[in-house]
Amino acid sequence: MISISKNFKKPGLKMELFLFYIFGGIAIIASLGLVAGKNPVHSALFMVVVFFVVAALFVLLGAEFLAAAQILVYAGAIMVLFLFVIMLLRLQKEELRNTSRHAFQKFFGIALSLVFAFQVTMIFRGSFFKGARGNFPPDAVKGFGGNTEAVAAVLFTDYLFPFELTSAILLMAMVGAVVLTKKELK
Amino acid sequence: MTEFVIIMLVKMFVIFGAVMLTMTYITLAERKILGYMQIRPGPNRVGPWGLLQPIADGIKLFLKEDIIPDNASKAVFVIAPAMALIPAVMTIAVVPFGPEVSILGRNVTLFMADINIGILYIFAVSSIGVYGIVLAGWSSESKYSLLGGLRSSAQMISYELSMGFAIVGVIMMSQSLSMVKLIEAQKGVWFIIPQFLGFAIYITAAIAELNRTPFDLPEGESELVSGYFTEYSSMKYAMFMLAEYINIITVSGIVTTLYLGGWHGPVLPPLAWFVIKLLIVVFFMIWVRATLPRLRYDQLMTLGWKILLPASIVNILLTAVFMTVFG
Amino acid sequence: MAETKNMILNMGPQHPSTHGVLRLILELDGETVVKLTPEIGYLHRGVEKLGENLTYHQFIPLTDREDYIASLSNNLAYCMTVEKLLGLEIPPRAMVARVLLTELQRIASHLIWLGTFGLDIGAMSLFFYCMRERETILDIFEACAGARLTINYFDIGGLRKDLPVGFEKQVRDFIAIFPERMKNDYERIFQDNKIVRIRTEGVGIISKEDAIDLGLSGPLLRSCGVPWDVRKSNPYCGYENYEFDIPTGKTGDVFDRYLVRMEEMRQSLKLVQQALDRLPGGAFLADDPKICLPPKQKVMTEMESLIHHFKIVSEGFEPPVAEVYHSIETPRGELGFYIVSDGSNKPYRLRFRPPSFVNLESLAKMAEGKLIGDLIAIIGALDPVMGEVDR
Repeated sequence: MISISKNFKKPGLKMELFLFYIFGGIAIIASLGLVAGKNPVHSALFMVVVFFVVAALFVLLGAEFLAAAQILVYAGAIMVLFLFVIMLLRLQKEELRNTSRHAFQKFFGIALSLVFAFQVTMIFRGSFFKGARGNFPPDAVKGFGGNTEAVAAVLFTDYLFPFELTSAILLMAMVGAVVLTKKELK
Repeated sequence: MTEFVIIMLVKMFVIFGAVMLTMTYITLAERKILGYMQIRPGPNRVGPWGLLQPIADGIKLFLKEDIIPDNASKAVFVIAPAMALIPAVMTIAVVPFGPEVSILGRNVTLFMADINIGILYIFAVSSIGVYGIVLAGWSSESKYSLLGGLRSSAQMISYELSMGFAIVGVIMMSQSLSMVKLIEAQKGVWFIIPQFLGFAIYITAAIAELNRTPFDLPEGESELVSGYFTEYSSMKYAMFMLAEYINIITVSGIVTTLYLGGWHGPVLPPLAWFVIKLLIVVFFMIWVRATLPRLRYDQLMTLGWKILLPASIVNILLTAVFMTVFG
Repeated sequence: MAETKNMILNMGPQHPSTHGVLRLILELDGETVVKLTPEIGYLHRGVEKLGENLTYHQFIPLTDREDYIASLSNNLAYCMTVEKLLGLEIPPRAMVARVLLTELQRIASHLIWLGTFGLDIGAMSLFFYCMRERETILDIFEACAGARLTINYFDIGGLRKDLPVGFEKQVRDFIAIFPERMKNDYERIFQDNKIVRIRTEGVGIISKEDAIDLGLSGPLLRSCGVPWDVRKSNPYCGYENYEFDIPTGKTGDVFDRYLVRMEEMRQSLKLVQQALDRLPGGAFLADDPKICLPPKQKVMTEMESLIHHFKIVSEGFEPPVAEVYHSIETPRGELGFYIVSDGSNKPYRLRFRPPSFVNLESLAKMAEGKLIGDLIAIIGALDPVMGEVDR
């Protein structure tokens, strides 16, 4: 938890659960708004809300580094770029209404999300069904000296190669984008 | 528990109130200082030396007609000023105005919270501030607003990078992301000395983030009238201004914390030192505004990406090398 | 999908940096100006037509309202044209005073230009420094004519009244402080600033040939390296007897325009100095009772003067049937008046060639393909006065 003060008692499980339900509820409502919204800007804003609530959930789990990273990267950078693009396109109101151009879009969308939900469930089935703990329960994190340190230690040792690989892929994507948008190649 | 809640509430009111008051008087100070730099007296009609001017301004703005353009996207248009103001207020929570002091027999810290990821928190929250501007620009359905919104979002994203990299040097030296530990690490030498390059980059990028001269392109009056808040009036306009000036305080507070040794200083109490340093940074920003002209959009981008960003990376490298060599 | 549309932006007529009611229709690709169409006429008052219905004397105050930043220069151009039509000789004191005052007016006008140009590119403080010095000049004008902006001081045949007591001291005081102020307050804060340099250098370049083809004049033309100035090429008011240089630029960019105007201020100051040193005494108005108003004192005491006064005010005078054109160098360039007289007391046709109007035509050529920020700097360096453009 955020170390606010020494004489601060850790709130009981009830409080935590209460907050979890509130945030979870907001997350679900906002994500419905995100999917159902007609205006892309409104959808984008709902998505920002989702990011915030998820960050709050991270804080509840004691992963404040992840929460900050979530807001910084997703809400602060990626969604701003999304909005930027939406603004640049400046869709007219008529175009916005005309959303159901592909008849099977909704059907495929629902089917695909079910598949995705199934996949996620299978990956985390251990903790979902059995209530088992993951690889980094609070005690293990405490061993690193805090969750920021834990993330750093794992990221820069065990996962260093995938981490660097990801950055290389992102770099390639950036170069590709620059090449594609350049007006004329010399 | 109750005692804790009461203390927190009192602190909240005191800090929020103090910041709001400082903010209103910074608007007056800005006009006064600009006035004296420009051989004119500045506001001097409302109250002695114009001291009641901010209150008059507030009342005036409150009583103005609130106009929402017909074509504006109304919900977003109304939310946008709040989206600009909320992050500005949220960041104050972790600005460490002073160390633990004893008031009425209780040990109270002079800041809302010392989060162990303080810096990251500030970055995360202030990166949200751009939403207010982008959405204001988009929802107004005005071309000037749109151009202003586009300019500022591009600008803020670009400068956030070098700002973040500039801080890395400080974090490396203090070995912590907590604002309080950062200040404690500067007990001997302020970070402005070993991290001078980082300081220069940070303050440049911070002024750009604040959309102030010479980086005030998003609201560059001679080009885009008022940029993203061209269509705003009354309290909605006031909220943008509030956000801007609260951000000035926050950024000055961060600069003080990161580079100017926070509350450290001889003789005077720590809180006084912090406020003095903060005000010096604010003065510096006003001074810059009186002196420098505005950059062009592409020059701004060049400065951000081709000068500040590489320089901040060099700063990290240099810091790392020095730390390894001299331990 | 890949097709992109350019954005049309109406800049003006109410915009902080279009210097009045200029409206620019911009076609923008992002921030780049693809096409620029200036729309003028928002300040049209039909002054030329008005001139056909006013006597020659009555028209002088209207010239003030053309280029209102440099009203004395407009007074001068009109008065000299009418004098040319009449073949009127003006006394030497008036001649020297005209040079002196129009050169002061040039400095005042350039100061406004410098201040607003600074504002346009975001340097706020410079404006106030410029206004301070302009104030001193306006005080001199106020002492002379009682007015500060629309001065209306020159009259057909000389000056409206004699130079005031203490005029010389006022001007000398100004001469004493101005070069230092220019150096310390303008150049050090503005010219040596890196941001100013990158905002102005290489921006809005126009070639020598294009400038001549478009008929540009004034600092705009001289910044391209054409040393053309009516004061040198067709001297009037005895400019041939003064010693001054015509500053020219090299590249024709915004920064050169700045340098040319700054140097012009120095040269103007030199001219003011010379004029002040040789300011003769004597009459300030030509002695022609049919054309020039008699002094008030005589009107009150002499029957003949009263009649002349009444005739001039009510009917004016009747110049010979002729056509004249006369031009002078105002702060903005060549200002010419063309008058067709049919022998009546009012001009048959009156027209003028405002320098701003002609200079404004070069705007599209200079700004297309540049960024909005550049456009602002270019308009600022163009220094248009809409009163003169729209007439």
